[in-house]
Amino acid sequence: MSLLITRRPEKRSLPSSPKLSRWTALANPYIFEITRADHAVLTVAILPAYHPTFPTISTNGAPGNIMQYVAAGDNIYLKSAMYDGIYLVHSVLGSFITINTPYIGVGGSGRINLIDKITNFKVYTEIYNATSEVLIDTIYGKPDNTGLLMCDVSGAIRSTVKTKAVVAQPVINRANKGISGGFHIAYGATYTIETNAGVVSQGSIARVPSIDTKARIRYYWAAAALQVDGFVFLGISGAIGGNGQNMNEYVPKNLDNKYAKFLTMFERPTYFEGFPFFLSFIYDEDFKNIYLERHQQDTDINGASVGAVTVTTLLNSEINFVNQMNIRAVNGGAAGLDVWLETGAVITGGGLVTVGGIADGFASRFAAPYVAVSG
Amino acid sequence: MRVTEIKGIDYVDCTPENPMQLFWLNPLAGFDTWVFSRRQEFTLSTSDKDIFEPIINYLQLANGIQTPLGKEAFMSIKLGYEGLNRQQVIGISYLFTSQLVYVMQGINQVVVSVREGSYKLYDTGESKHKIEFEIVLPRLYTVSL
Repeated sequence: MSLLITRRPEKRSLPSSPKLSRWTALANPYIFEITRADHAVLTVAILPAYHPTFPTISTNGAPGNIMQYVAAGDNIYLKSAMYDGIYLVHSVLGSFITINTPYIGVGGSGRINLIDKITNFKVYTEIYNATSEVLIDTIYGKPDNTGLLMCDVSGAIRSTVKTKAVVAQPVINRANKGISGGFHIAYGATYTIETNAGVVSQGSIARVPSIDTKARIRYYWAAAALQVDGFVFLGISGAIGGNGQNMNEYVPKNLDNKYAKFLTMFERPTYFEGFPFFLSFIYDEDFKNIYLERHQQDTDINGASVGAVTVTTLLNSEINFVNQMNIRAVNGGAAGLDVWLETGAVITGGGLVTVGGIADGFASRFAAPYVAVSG
Repeated sequence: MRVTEIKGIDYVDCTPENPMQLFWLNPLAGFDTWVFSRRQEFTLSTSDKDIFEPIINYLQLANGIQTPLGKEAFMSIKLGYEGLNRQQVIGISYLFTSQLVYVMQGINQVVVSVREGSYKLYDTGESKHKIEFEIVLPRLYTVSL
């Protein structure tokens, strides 16, 4: 019996890249698809030794177990190529189950769920703050007859949002930990199981780390709200590109040809001299071993460059959150400016910040607060 | 290696008249800002919480009939900006749907709300646009008797 996350809230940063964006807008569903599989299916085919016309399922279950928990007349859920539904068991022999349905072709690998004999199947999903490892909440859900559970963690995480802005910031960039954050999940299940002889007992699937170490990967949220595909009237690109609620478009990665957007609704924001101004961006975990630099170029009224590009290293201690980034004062005679981020020096010295403009109070911080969590 | 878009930013180097800067949380979890200027209308809205009317037995001993038990008071400010291009109107429009709007008062930030309503954003037949709305400041504490 297994319980696996079969779809994760993540998107490829670029179509051909193995890197993933794990940032999701919190006002939208934050879905993990979890699938229950009681036994794996090897094949579904006509096996004359078991039945001449009905298809027979070859399972990976121990013959003793299959014979103990599946009997003629039971309903089971079968997922194997064109066989996808609830079927009546015709007979059971060893690890082979013949179902009472017309043969429609050879089915490949898949799964069966013993929906009559394994009942009260409840999945619990624990959500942990990725920084403090504190349990935020536990969500309970019940897979449907196909074994699928859509686990939406957004509601639980929303309770941790502390929306605030500190507009006057003395450092070049600062994490806004009230409107963004990270978490990881763990999950398991409990159920009631009944033998063909009517003996009922309680069973459980152990908490996930022993099953699926990938579940300990960090996921990130931002207090954002993306729109449905094609909603472009107010300049929101919405889910264009099939990203759905994933913020892939706004997540920088240490990748060629991946140019993330800043978190502003202005195509061209306006900086009023003498008033606070900053740009927001996602400081992704992909930069834990390399510095990010703010590049700034003053421009004239025609957009032509004025003066030299200035480069300032960002504080790596603020990684894994939405950041607010100051811009430097604009030189006289300029009518605008261009700002972008580039990768800088590789972080060395065991993760300590060794280069870059470090503000007072930040010098002793670790450059990479990212905690790799083992399964 | 560049990892973000190149963001062009307009720069206004003259200090506007009667500046009032707003910051708001936009739908991307970032903060946007605009400095509104020139003309602002300040309005004070008040209402009575309830009225107490004592029994009066002798008119010659009374000096009134109804007494308010308390006052509700809100200050609101009507703001606007003219000569905006379309992308500026679109950027500012997310102020109307934001749950978190700040007015900058020196180094302090005051949380305000934008009065609900319908807002004309832009007309495709015009090259420049104007926008007008009202913000409601924190409720004023009043003395209750």
